[in-house]
Amino acid sequence: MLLNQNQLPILLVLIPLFGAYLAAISVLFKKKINNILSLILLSLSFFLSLLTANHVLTSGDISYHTAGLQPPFAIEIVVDPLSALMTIIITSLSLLTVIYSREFIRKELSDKRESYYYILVLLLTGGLNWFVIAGDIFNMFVGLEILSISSYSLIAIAQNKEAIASAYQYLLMGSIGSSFFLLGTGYLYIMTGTLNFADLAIRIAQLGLFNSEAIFASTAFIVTGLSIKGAIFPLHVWMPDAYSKALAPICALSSGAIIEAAVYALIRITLTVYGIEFITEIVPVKTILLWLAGIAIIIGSLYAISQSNIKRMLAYSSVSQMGYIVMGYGIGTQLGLSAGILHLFNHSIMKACLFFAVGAIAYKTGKTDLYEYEGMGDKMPVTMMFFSLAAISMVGIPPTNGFISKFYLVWASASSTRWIFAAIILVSSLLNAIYFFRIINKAYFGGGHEEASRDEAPYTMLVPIGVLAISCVVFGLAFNIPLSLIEPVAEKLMTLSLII
Amino acid sequence: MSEGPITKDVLVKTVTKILIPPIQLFGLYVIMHGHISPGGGFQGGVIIASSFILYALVFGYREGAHRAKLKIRQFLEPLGPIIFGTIGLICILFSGNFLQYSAIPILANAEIAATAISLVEIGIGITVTAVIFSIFMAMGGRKTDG
Amino acid sequence: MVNLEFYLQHYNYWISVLLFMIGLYTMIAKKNLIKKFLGLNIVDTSIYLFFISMGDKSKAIAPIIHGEHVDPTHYSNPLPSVLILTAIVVAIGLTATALSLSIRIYEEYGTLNSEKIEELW
Repeated sequence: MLLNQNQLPILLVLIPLFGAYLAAISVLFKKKINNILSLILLSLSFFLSLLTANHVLTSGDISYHTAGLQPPFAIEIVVDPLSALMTIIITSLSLLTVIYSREFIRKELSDKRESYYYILVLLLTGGLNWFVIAGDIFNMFVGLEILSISSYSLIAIAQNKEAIASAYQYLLMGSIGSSFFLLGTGYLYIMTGTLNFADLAIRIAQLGLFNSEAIFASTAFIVTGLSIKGAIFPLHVWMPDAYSKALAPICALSSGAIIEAAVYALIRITLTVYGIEFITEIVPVKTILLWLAGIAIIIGSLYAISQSNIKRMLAYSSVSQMGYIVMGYGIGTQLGLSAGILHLFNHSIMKACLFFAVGAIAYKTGKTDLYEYEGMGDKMPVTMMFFSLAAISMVGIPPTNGFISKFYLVWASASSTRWIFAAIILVSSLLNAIYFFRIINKAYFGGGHEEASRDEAPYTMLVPIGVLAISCVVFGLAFNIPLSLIEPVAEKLMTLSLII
Repeated sequence: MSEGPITKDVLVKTVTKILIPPIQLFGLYVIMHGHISPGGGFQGGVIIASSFILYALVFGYREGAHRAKLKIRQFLEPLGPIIFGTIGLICILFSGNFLQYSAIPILANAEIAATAISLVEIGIGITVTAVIFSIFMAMGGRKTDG
Repeated sequence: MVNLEFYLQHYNYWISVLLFMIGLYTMIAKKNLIKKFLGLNIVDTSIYLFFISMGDKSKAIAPIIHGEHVDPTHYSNPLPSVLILTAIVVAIGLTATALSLSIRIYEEYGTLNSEKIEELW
């Protein structure tokens, strides 16, 4: 075979990034080629990410070094089962986004902007992949910036006045987050002289830096910076504005991959670099995040109930769902961490499906408001069916994947005797039920039957929605597939102890 | 920016014409010496782009757009990363790691491997020149371009 | 007792912290969107200064091997400079994005004042 299996990680980064520049050149010679080109490239990346996951599961973690040097001197890329899972989420969502965008973008954007759109989606995918598989903290920063700049541009590409203003707001907040992350990196570097994750952990332990103020400061800066990117309460304020005005596929991709990747990075850095004891006992990051998550779940759900714009409602729902993920991490047991990451996986499926479905309805009928959804069940039955499936999953009714991860979360909080968080999850499920069943009720039983004539979204849009909605059920039954990728890493992260 | 020349001053125009070649030459020097002295593709590219910006400032937007046409810039902008990525991919095809020059048979010698680094630097220089000038033109020419 | 000499010797970090605070204040207090972004650039600059000054020392030379052997302790640390070069490139991309967005905002709203934009939203 021409390509060594060990070359897989670099190709995951290289294909979308390199492809973005290829797309930028090829559009000069042939118009409208970018859709096909990005479809091919992202299918290839998706296939490679599956291969990587398979390789990681069968023969252990991949550590890749560029330029033929050894870490910590070379740029290291580390793929373990968890980052393999993240690349699968990222590449599959961006592939579905490109399929979905074919019809959607043609209607929404001019030809020139359409070609820019696909270039930016490719850049975003490359940046995300780079961000999740980077083995040192500075490369993580570079990936973070690539994905951030392309996501600011993608939110602004809708070109209506609200989208541009909210993209600017997102840009200001997001770049403060990146600056904080860079400053935290600086504090780590000045104390240890290294940037590689594994090396950092070893040096912090060897040099006995657990009581150093600089390390405390670096924790604070990195956690704050990534919390802004990950829309963790109370730093979520950019998200509802940005998502309610952006194009639906971009909302799906950001809500399904970008904020997830930021939370993933938060988990990865705090648990590998600082270690579980440090963030539990010395700097109580976990406890703070746990309580913030508890508040976020309730507040996010209450805000979501009070919205009538559905995209805005889904954005606030994302705030509360990020709370679930962070809560799993904050509980601080191995079970809690696996439950949180499982919910991260499930949330990206459910939320992307919901955003796609809402986008399809807006595409066909132009309706974005809750009170205009009357008779939608007759007008667009297939889309509404998939929407309802994902909504049911969001509420957490078996046999969907939302039920599984919520069940795991309740189990984790109960087994660590934090009953209040188990109660919060149950209450918030009820709140979820209120705002999702309200839509379903309006769509199916809200009247308006007589004027409804069937007018279904095109197939290129139905297929991504359907794939995601069906995977909600599939991963509700076959939840051991993501868990097989999550559990080994959760065990490793939780037992990794370097305080001597 | 106004479409025509901003200044009719002969002195400014003459000095600009005299200055631009040394600026570009210095930019090329910084690019080519990137691997053995401080400098590199980005710094040199910015220096070359600054000479274009100076030209467009003195002789006007239209003249600047004529000298470095949009089509050409759009072609050059993604060219650098493609050169960079291609060299990296060639290393992978010779079963080395990304950017591991020693994997390519003709570059096994360290002296020649420096040439490959120069190629990467040239690619970056091309891209940075085109991108920086394009940013300037896109913002400055907003009113004229529509 | 406060070790005054220790703090005075590390005046570069104090300058960096001061710039960081000035930048953050600008971002929060100013209404103009471009001024807000300039505040962000000041924050970035303070971080660059922090990185560069931690890698440098007096009378150090650039770490480039020119044939004859030089004691490595005479070199300044190249890694922070390289990192900051990357961060500067990233900041240029960010600045270009922000400025082009603010041009579009001005075209749509006719103002760059953040309070007026919120009213016109």
